[in-house]
Amino acid sequence: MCVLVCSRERVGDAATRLLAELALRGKVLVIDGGNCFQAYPLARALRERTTSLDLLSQRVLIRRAFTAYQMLALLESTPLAALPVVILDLLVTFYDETLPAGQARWLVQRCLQEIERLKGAAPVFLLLRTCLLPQRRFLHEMVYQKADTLFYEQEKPTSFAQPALF
Amino acid sequence: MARVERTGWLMDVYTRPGGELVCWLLSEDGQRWLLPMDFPVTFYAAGSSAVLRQAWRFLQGRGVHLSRQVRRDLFHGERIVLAVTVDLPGRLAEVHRRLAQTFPLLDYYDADLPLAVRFVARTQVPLLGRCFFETDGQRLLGLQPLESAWEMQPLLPPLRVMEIECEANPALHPPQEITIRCDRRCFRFTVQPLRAFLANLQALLGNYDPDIIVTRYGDTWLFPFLGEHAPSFNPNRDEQMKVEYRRERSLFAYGQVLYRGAQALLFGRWHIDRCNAALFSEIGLMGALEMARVTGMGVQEAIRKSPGAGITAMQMQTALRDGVLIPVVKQQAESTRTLANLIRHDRGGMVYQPLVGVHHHVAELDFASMYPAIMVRYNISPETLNKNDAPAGLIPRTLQPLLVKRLALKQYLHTLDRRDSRVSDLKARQTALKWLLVVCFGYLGYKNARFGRVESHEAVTAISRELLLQAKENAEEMGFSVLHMYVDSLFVKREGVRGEADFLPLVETIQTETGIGVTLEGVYRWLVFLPARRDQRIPVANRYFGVFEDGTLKYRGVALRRHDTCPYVARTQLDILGCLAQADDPRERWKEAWALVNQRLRSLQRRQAAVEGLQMAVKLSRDPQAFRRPSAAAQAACQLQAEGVAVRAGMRLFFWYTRQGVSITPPNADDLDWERYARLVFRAATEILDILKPSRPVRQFHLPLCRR
Repeated sequence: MCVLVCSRERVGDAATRLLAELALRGKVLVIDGGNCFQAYPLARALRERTTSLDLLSQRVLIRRAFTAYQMLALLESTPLAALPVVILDLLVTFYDETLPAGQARWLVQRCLQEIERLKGAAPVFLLLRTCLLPQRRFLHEMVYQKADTLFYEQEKPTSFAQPALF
Repeated sequence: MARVERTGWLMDVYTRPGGELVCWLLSEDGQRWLLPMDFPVTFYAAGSSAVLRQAWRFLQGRGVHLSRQVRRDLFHGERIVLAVTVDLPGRLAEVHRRLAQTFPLLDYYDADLPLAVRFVARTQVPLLGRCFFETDGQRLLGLQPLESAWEMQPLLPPLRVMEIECEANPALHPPQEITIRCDRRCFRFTVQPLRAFLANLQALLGNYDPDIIVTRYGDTWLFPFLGEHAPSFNPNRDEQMKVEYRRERSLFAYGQVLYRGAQALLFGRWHIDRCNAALFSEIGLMGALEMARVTGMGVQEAIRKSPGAGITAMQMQTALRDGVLIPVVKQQAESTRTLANLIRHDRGGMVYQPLVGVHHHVAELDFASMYPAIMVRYNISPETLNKNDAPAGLIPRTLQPLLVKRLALKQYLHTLDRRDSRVSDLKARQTALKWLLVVCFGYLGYKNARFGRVESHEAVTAISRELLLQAKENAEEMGFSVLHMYVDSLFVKREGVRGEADFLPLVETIQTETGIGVTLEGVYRWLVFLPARRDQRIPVANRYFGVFEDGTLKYRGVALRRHDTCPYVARTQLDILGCLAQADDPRERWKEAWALVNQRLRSLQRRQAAVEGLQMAVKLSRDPQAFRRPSAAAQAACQLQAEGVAVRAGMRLFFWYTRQGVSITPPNADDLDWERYARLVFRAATEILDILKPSRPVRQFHLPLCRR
């Protein structure tokens, strides 16, 4: 499992580039947990690389989850197949403050078990946005521990400060 | 007390700490009753039979009734479930929590329903609805409905209202004086000494015995303050109950960060905080009562929560009546689709860009409650997707009476004179229903909607696009030009056509062809579609201003409509529009409008504008520490934090622009950044007037093509 952690803005761009490359090679399944799949930029990216857009746009298969429970249901219902799986923003739905932390931990554990299962048949790519909720950072740690390869983009300092004059 | 029978109104239901249900009733003789009632409630668990057997053993001997039942899940069909019945409704949450912790793999149903929704669905007595009840003075023995929630002109209970106001925002200045109004009397009390204030408040509550306490900052200051400094003071009518406090929170919904302030809820009477009830300023008490009546949510809940919660409650009622299981968590995921499919189907409403410029005698045609009407007419519901001849779905059945009632109220309003005393109440009720209908479409695709599904959401927009195109074709066939289309409305004009009557045949044709009601919003004397700021050649959807034949102004997408425009700038822009509205062509008043703008700018230069009118308001899009740049909102948030105010994302902050940055307290005239306000006024003026600028006649020079 290859994990890329980057800023919210870059998850969409990185996903578009990755999916365009994968679609040129065959079918690819996208599981979108953060509603960050960019259909039009992906179509444009494919058009830059090929003239047979219709064919390639049939190769990109998409499933979207809007709650943590839906994310688990999606992963559970995904059959083992020899096509790469790209999971976008796996953890966003787990930040929902109405979802208790214990429940979130349990659900992520089960999601990771399902990802392990999928990994047995084809490569799995996870694109995560950096965690902005310190109280849910443990969910990220759980994912990092399962990663075979981890690419991490450093967070920029977010709070502003008056620059010193001297 | 002997057994008595009364006719009255069901006001609210709640549970006492012991778990028993209490009904608050108001009888026609004016007596208020708080009567406990036997009301066992059931929730269900489904899953593998082995786990269900373990769950059964786990629950045995815990004071619940267990049975095996077959019930219908909307998506999975009939399921074998373990029914868990609890005699005291207040205990259900605890039993469910323990079971769910021990058996997380089971699917749970009907476990987190609002009590009032359950009660209304079972007894058929709507909140605020008339009913017949029997009691022995200790318990409620019988309850029968005398009207439905869909009664057009329900008889209202005689409510006693008390208003409590403080003079300033307690977050910045601790209030010194409290004003209390009840029964046409006004009392002013100082907060200190607290003991005297409490004695007065208690006496007023005892003597007047209000049903509703309407406050300003009651949620965030008054009741928490009283709870902290006078723990023995109880503002509830039910003395066994304490004030229920709910914490503040920020949440991300509808594409924006929303802030919900802390809440203080009462029992046996209602508390409404004007500053913490999003819809109260728009729909008032009458709208709140209407919303509670049709949704089954208590008044205190209905006015504080979003209309989406109301729609969910209505769907729950339909499901309970039909015996459909209501899942605790939504698990139905989207089916697999291709990129091509997603691009083709996942689109919003139809937008046909406007023809920029000034237009005369333009009619605006609106589809009446278009999306809900589509959902009802085309039977769009998560369970009816891709099914032909399916019976009416859960969502259409929920919406049908709501749609009918709103349209009937609207039509009735049209028959009344504007000065009729019933108009304001009817408008408030109609607006409350409108908000429920507005959100019902979004809720089809909302992540937490119990019966939502994104595919049905897409089906609605797909049909709406077809209908709008159909309407465009009808208009063009009849010789009209379509100037602009926006989701559910279209703007048309035709040479020589001026009056409303001339557009009615088109309205009827579209109505007949599409099967959805169409209303003629009005005919504009003139209408201006504005271009983009960056490039005058680019049109912008839904950004226009115009004046109807009767002189009424309508404007969309301009500074006046923005929440972050300060009152002085908004007033100036409104006055500009008023100035333009006096002419048959807005371009004729261009100079006069600029004269008005210059006058306002001079007022600012002379520092004559009132400070209150220059107060800015912004909604904080993120927590203060997450800001990267010191924007005005970030600076205001930092100042509030320095004052000890807890600032959270989604809060609305108020401040003034000053030479040093911003100030959250009214600054002196010398400190205000007058130039910045002048720039805002100028910008608001150019937004409207630039397009009306008289064009200079182009002088043409004919040059000789060649020299002789």
